[in-house]
Amino acid sequence: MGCHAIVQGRRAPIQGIADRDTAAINQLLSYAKGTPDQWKPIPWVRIHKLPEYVHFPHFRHVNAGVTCQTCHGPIPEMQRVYQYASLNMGWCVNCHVKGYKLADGLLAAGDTAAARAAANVEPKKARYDCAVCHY
Amino acid sequence: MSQPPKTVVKRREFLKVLGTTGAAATAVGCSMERVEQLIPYVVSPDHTVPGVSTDYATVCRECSAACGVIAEVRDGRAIKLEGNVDHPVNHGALCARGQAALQGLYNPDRYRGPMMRKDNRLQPATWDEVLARVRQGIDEARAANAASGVRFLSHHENGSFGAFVDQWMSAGGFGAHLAFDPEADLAARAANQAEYGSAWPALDFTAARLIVSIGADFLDGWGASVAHQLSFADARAKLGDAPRFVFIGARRSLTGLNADEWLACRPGSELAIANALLGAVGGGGNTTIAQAATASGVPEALLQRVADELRSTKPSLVLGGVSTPDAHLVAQAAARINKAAGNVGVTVKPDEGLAGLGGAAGAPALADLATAMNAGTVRVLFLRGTNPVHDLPKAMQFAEGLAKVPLKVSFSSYPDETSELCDVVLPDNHALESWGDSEPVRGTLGLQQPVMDPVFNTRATADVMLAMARADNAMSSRFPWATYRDFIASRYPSGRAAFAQALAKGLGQGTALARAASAAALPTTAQAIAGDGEFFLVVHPSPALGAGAGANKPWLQELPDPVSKIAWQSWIEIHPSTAARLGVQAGDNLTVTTAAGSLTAPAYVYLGIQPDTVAVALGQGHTAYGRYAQGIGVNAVDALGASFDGAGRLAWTQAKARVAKAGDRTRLVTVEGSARQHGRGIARAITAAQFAAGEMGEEEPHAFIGDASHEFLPGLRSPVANDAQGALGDTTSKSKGMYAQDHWSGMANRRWAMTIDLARCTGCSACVTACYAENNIPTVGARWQGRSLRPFHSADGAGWDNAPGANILKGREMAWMRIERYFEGGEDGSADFETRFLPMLCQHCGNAPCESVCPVFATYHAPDGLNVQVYNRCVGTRYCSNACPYKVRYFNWHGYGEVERRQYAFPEPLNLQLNPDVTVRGKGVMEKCSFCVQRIRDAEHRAKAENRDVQPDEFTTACAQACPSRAITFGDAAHEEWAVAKQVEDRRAYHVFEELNTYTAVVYLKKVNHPAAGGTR
Repeated sequence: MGCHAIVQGRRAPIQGIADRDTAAINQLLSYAKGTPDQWKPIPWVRIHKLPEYVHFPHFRHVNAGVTCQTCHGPIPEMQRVYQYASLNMGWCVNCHVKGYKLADGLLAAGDTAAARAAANVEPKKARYDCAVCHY
Repeated sequence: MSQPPKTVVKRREFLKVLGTTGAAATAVGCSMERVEQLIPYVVSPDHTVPGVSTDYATVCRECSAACGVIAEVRDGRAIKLEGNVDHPVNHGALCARGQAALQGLYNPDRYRGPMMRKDNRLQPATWDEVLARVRQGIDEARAANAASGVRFLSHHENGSFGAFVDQWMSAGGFGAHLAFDPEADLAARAANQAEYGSAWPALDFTAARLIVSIGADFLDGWGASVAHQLSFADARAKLGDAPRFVFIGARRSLTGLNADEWLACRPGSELAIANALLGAVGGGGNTTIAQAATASGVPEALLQRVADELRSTKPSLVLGGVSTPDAHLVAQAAARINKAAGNVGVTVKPDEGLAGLGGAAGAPALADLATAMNAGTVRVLFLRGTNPVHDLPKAMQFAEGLAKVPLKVSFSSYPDETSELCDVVLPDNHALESWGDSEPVRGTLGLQQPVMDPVFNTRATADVMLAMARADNAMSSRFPWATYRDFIASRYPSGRAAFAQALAKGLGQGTALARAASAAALPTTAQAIAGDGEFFLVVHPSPALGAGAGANKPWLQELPDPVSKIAWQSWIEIHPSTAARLGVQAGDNLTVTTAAGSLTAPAYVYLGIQPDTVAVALGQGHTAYGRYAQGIGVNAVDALGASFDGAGRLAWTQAKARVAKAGDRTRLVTVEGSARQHGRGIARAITAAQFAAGEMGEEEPHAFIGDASHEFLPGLRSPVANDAQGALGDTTSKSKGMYAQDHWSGMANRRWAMTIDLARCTGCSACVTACYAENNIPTVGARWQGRSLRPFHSADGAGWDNAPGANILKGREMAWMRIERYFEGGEDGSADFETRFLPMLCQHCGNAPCESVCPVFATYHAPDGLNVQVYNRCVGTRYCSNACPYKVRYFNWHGYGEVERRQYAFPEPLNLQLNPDVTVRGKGVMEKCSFCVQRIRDAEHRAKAENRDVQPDEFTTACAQACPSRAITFGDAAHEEWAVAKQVEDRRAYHVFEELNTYTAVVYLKKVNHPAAGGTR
């Protein structure tokens, strides 16, 4: 789609903010230098990792409507991504047993209007049997 | 000599120093943690999602049947093989050898790249170097006008490759190409071709009312075992109407153990019996029943009864598959019996037979090659996929001949006995990394495609040959294809687009390029079994190891032989009466000496062998071939000479032998506790007559409360029901929590259960290996995995704890699923005994003894019926294993899953095969069958993602999927749309150790026996 050809490391001035170089975008662009067969993969540093004896289906949580910020915290506001939630088993099971309140999740995502609209949605519970995650 | 300054560190200061260092490390924060990186693809392959498997259809090359397999590939690595449901030969099943193909792909001893002999050793080289050396060899041969001295010896493969090599050889002006398969029954193929017009007709066991096998081990290696087993099991599943199966032979192989009756006969007398039976059905024959009885040692009345049965029972199915020098005559007689009895077109179907079997070279052709090599007329020898130095008798002098060949080129992937003698090694891709084709049945092409990039720096032999041809003036015009893929695709009848579509299924319409099959008539005579010695020596292929190819795969070494239950070893089978007479006990080393050589191995006392016969399995005795094969057991071929049958197969049962005690003992590496049930009622059977009469059989129904098949009592006796909710739980509540049927999670509405039909199970052990592959089960029997800290071995390192199978001797095998094998009858040493095979796995008891004894609740009963093992909670008291009456819990004694440990079971790159959906267990943790809970969860997740319910029988466990007998059914017994729900209602259903009130979720269906008229077993 040509993104790497269009995206520049320099942001044009908008609404009174001067144009400036974006170090982050420049760093990303550095992996896409030269012809496509010279491009390198971006070595993402893994922040969130669960032990290997836990099987965590991320897509089930996304499909269930859990907002990203619920577990990952305010990523858009982070200068450098850090692990926001403890991710320990008690924290996970707590949400499964009590139920996930969509309103809280939307609030964490910064969407107050949607959070108000979802105030009466039933908390979404999930299975908490050991063998659902530990096998 | 200067001394370093003395630093006196007092004990307390030492600990203080240690503490400071530790604190300093943690103060830096997270530096102890490994920083992990996630490296994505720059350009992601099409249709690939990280963490989601992609399936590729290809062809299994572990035997000549060329079954279709589906390779499950995760993130670019093949992790599991399943049968291809649409394939006409295996219909979705896959045998143990097929499952173990992955350990050939990821074998740690594979050649990592080309090798060249320098300083009399094979050393790593570059492709340019080895290709240049090969070109040089060919140029030299041509310069000396000896281009016909360039020869090719390959492993006979179903498909176009054989003919491709023929064309390559003839284009270059080279000599003949021989394709050799040590296990192929050339006698049966030739006789079938002559009598039926088809080398291997389809065998329809379900249409037969009587099966007579004269030495043909159709369930363990003769022909297409999976296809035969599927048909045979379906025939057995007819229960009361199932055909009776009579096995005639000197040794009861796995196939023989599945027979209702065994006619124990002298080796070499099978022809007399076959001819007598031929006469009985009015097909001619030149032997009377009386003469056959005298020649074979079978009682005349018994033989007469079987002959009468054969005459009066139609349709029947008679198979002849001996390995004596007269095998061609026996196969011919068997085919003629089928014709005379009217079986052709009914149980023997020439029109639907296996194709692609033509063109296999016989041992005489190899003998000619060896002669030519020894005479110095072979200039260049190419070898691919074959190991004649191990597989052929020394008398054929193949290794000596090899030494005289100026250039020996091996395409072998593995450092075996033959490739280690070669000058250059151009390692071939593994079958799972290669293009190719096969023609399993006439008109249907089985397409072989690479399922992943090559693991090592190997190249497909066909591509190497194409590159050489295109660079050669004489050959380039006939080889316009750049790669072998182009060649295969160009041959596809309907064109390239259709070819790409056919690859998705692995099947298409078309024919493979065929080799010219020899039309030589079979001789009418045969050599006799020769030698002086009291005993006949029966040599037979191992069901798992074959003639030797499987020995470098630890799953196959760890797989207990289905007949003897011995692993990681060679053994000599001897009858109890013979053992008593010679004063031999199990484990005493015996020396078997023939004219050709001798073998020394421990004795195994076995009911299923003639008193005048001893038997040894092929497959072991490697002097190379990698860490899992080397130095284990004996090579049975060492006792054989160059005696062939009339069709050219090496006659494995060719010699008489002297047997003597060697004087010492070896501990038999056996997983068998006892060969008898001792009245425990574990494996139960019912005769066909009792079944028809509606009786229950040998066990009376138990009069205890509750019908175990229906009332599963999960969780109520488990202490966890309320505890699981921790602070949120109400200790005074009577609520069943998530175990309630109406709980919002709905988990308690499932009842995962399994039925195992003992009428179908043949004991082949495919389920065992499938389970190893799916669940990351470590193999523990390798030599270096045994030694523990305490000195169980002597100072010089010898002793049983240093030998292969040491851990198994300690009872530490890890197989989550095992096949129990019980004999019934025959205590007097007679041939009249029955065998029952019982797959034993965690029974997922509703009232499990193991759950209540775990001090840390690492095991408990899930609401959906599983007995769960939580690895990270387990502290390793092993109390659960103590409590389990079925002994299906296994403890990780040595940390087989931890890379830094000596006993690590997955040396690189075997670890690439590990299933990412299953935890790799560390030291000190219990494990057991989980009913493939990862597959259950995967199905549930998939269904939720697609916004639907899990469909009945949408998935199944690894064992059920692999089983070629279709004996295992798994599913939700609480919903009647699932197949297992009906199966648990079967009249034959019972639970093992019902009387212990364990309420197992595994239900067995009694075996149905067909004793001879008037017999009781």
